[in-house]
Amino acid sequence: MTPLAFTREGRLVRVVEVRGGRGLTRRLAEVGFTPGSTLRVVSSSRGPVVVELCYSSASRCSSCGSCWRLALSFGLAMKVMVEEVESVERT
Amino acid sequence: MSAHRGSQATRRFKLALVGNPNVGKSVIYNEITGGDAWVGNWPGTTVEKKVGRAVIGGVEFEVVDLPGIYSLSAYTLDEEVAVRFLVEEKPDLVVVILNAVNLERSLYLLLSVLEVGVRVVAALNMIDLAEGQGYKVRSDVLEELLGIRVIPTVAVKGVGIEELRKAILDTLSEPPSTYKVNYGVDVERAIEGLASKIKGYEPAGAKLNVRWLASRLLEEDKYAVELVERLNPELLKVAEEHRRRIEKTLGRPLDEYVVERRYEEASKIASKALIKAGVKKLSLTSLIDYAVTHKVFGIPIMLTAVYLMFRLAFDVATPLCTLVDYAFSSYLPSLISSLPMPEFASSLIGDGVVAGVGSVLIFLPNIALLFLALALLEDVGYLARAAFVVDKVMHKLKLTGKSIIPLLLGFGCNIPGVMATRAIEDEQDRKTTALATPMISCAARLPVYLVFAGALFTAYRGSVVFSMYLWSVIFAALTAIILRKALFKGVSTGFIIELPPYMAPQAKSVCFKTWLRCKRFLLKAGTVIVAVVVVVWLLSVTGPSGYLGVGALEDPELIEQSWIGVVGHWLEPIFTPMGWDWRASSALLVGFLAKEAVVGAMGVLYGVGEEGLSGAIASSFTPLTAYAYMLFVLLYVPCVATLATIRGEMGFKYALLALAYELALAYSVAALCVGVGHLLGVA
Ligand SMILES: Nc1nc2c(ncn2[C@@H]2O[C@H](COP(=O)(O)OP(=O)(O)O)[C@@H](O)[C@H]2O)c(=O)[nH]1
Ligand SMILES: [Mg+2]
Repeated sequence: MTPLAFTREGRLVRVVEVRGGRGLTRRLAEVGFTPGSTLRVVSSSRGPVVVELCYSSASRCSSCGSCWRLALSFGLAMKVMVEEVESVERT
Repeated sequence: MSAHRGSQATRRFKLALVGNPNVGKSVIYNEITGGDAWVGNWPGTTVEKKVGRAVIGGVEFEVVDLPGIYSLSAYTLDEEVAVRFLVEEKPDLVVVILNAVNLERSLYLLLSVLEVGVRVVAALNMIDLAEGQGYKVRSDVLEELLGIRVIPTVAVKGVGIEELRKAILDTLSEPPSTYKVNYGVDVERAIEGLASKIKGYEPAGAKLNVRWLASRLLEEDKYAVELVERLNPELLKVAEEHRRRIEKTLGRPLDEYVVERRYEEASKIASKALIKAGVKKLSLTSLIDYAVTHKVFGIPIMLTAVYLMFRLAFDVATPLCTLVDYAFSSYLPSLISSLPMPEFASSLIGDGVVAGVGSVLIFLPNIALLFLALALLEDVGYLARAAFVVDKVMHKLKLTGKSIIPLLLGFGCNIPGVMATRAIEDEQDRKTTALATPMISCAARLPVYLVFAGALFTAYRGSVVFSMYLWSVIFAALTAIILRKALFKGVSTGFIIELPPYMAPQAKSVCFKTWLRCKRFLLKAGTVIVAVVVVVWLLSVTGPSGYLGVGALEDPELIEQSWIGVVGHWLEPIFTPMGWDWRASSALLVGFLAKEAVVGAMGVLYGVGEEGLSGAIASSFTPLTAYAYMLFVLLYVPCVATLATIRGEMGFKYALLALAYELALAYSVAALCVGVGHLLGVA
C-alpha cells in the first residue's frame, strides 16, 4: 500500500483508504475516491498528481476516453492510500 | 401548495440552478434568463451571487445561479452557500444540471438535492460529448428511476432548452420530491428516531425536512449541526449516541459510509441509464494531456501559451489603443473647446471627465484581449492544466496553482485579478493571492516605465523595462511568502482541480465570458477612475488661495500654487533621500489615485507637455534616482480602484493593510536602491 503521490505514471491502482480528517475523507469520496474505486495515474512527478476515473464503476476501464480527470495537490495525494491492480480488466 | 396555483399569474417564483463545476450551468442560466443578471456576493462571503429574471409561459421567475459544487455537505464555502439557500430560501424549483460525460458524480449531487425535498427538474447536458465518446444516456430511464423530469440538452447549441422551460413550468404544480436513498436498516432506524425527536422541537410553520436534517446530523454536517443546535442543543447529544452505536456495528466512520451509500446508488442508476455504443480507440485528451502535463515540457508549453496570450493582448491592441487615444486626447478635446461654453465648464468636461473616461478606455483593448485569450484557454480546457502545471512552482511561493489566473489577469489590470481570486477555495490561499496580485505590474504602469527608460536609459531601454516586470514577479512572490509566514499561517488544504476534456471553444460562450469580465472592469474602474481624474483636475485648478483658473494646467508656475503643487512641496522632504523634487512627489500623489495619470501629470508639472517630458526628466533625474522612481511606481499602491476592490472582496481591514504594506515596501525598496547605488558609486 502506497500513497497515491508515489505511484508511477500509467499504473492502474485501487483506493484502499483515505487518511484524513472526516471532512477531507468525505470531500475526496465525493469526487470519486471511495475505497475500492479504481483509477489510472496519468501523471505523477512528486508534485500534484493527475488521475483518471472512469464513470461506470461496474467496469472500470482505462482507455475509453470518456473517463474524467482530476488533478490532486501533492498534499492530498499523500493522503490517498492505494494498491496496484495486477489484472487490468479491459472493456 | 394551493397558494401557488391561486396566484400563479402575479407571484414570482424562485428558481435555482445547481450543478457540478463546468457542467454548462452558466450557459443554461443565460439561455433561461436571456443574460439578465445582477451580480453580487452572497451575504458575508466572497462567493459570487448571480440573480436574473425569466418569464416562461407568462409565469415570472427569479433565477438564482448557485455556485458550482460537488455535494451539499457544507464542507466548502460554495457548498454551504448552496445548501443554506435550498433550506432557508426554499426555492419553488431547482434545476439540477447533469453532465452526461460524468453521470455518476452528477447523480450524486442530484440525489443530495432530491433528499432536501424540493421540486427538481434535471437537465442532462453535454449529450453531444457523450455521444462523441460512444455513449448514450437514456433520460427516460433516469426519469423513471428518479421520479422527476430529465431533459437532454446541448446547452451551447440551444438544444433542449425549450423542452427544459416546458418541464420547469409543468413541474411547478407537482409536489416536491420525496426521493429517499436507503441507508440500510441500522442507519434508517436512527434517522427515524432522530427525525421524530427533531419534529418535537420544530417551530410552528418552519416546514423543515426532518428526515433530511436527521440524516445530515448523523453525518455531522456542519450546517445541519448549526441548524439543530438552534432548535435544541440536546438533540446533538442524542445524535452523538446514535452515531456512536452505529459506528460500532459498522466498524467505520458513519459519514464515510453514508457518502459511499449515496455514491453506490448514483452508480447503480448511472449504469442502468448508460448504453455504451462504440468505444473510441484513442483519446485525444489523453494524448494532449500527456504533453501539456509532462514534467519537462509542461512548463515551457505553459510559458509559450502565456507569451502568445500577451502578444495577442498587446500587439493586436496597439492600433486600437492609438485610436482610443486619438479620440480622447485630440478629437474630443478640440471638439469640446470649440463648443460655446465658459472656460471653467469646458475644462472640467475636457480635461476632467473626457480625460478620465479616456484613461479607462485606453486600457480596454489590452484588457479585453487578455480576457478573450484567457476565456479561450479556459474553454478549450487548458487553463485547468496550466493551474496544475504551475502548482509545484507556486507551492514554493506558498501559493496554489489556482493563483496563476488572478496573477495573469493582474498584468492587464489588478482589479479583475483581485476579483478572480474568488475561484480559490482555500481562504488563506485566496487572501494571500489577492494581496500579492497588486504587486503585478499592470498595463497602467507601463507608460511610466517607457517614459523614464526612454529618457535616461536609451541604450538599455528594453532591458530596464523588462527588469520592472521581473521585479514585479519577485515582489509578488516575496509578498506571498511574507503573508504566509506572518498572517495566513494555516497549511493550504490542497486542491482538487477537475481537468475537463478538451473541446473546441464555442464563440458564444467565449464572447460572453469576455464581455462579462469587461463589463465588471468598466463598472469598477470606470466609476472610481473617472471620479479620481475629476478630483485631480479640481485639485490642480484650485489651491490654498482659491480658484487659480484653468490656466494652471498649462502653467508650471501657477500649478505650483495649486493643491497638487502644495502637497508636492509637503511631500518633498520625505523623498529627498531618493533625490526626487516636489514635481516628482506631486506626480506620485496623482499616481496614487490612478497610475496612468503619472505621465500626464508630470507633463503638466514640468510645464513641457508629454512631448518634452523626456528632456525634463533627463535633467531632473539621474539614472539611479529614475530607476528608484520606477521601482516606487511599481510597488506603491496600484490605484485607489484596486484598493476599493480589495475592500470589497476582503473588507476594510485588509485594504488598509495593503495600503500600509505597499507604501512601506515601495519606500524601503526605493531608498535601498538609491543607497546601494551610492555605495557602488553609481549616480
Ligand atoms: N460540447 C458541449 N459543451 C458545452 C455544453 N454546455 C456547456 N458547454 C461548454 O462547457 C464549458 C463550461 O460551461 P459553463 O457554462 O461555463 O460551466 P459552469 O461552470 O457550469 O457555469 C464551456 O466551455 C461551454 O461552452 C454542451 O452541451 N456541449
Ligand atoms: Mg459558471
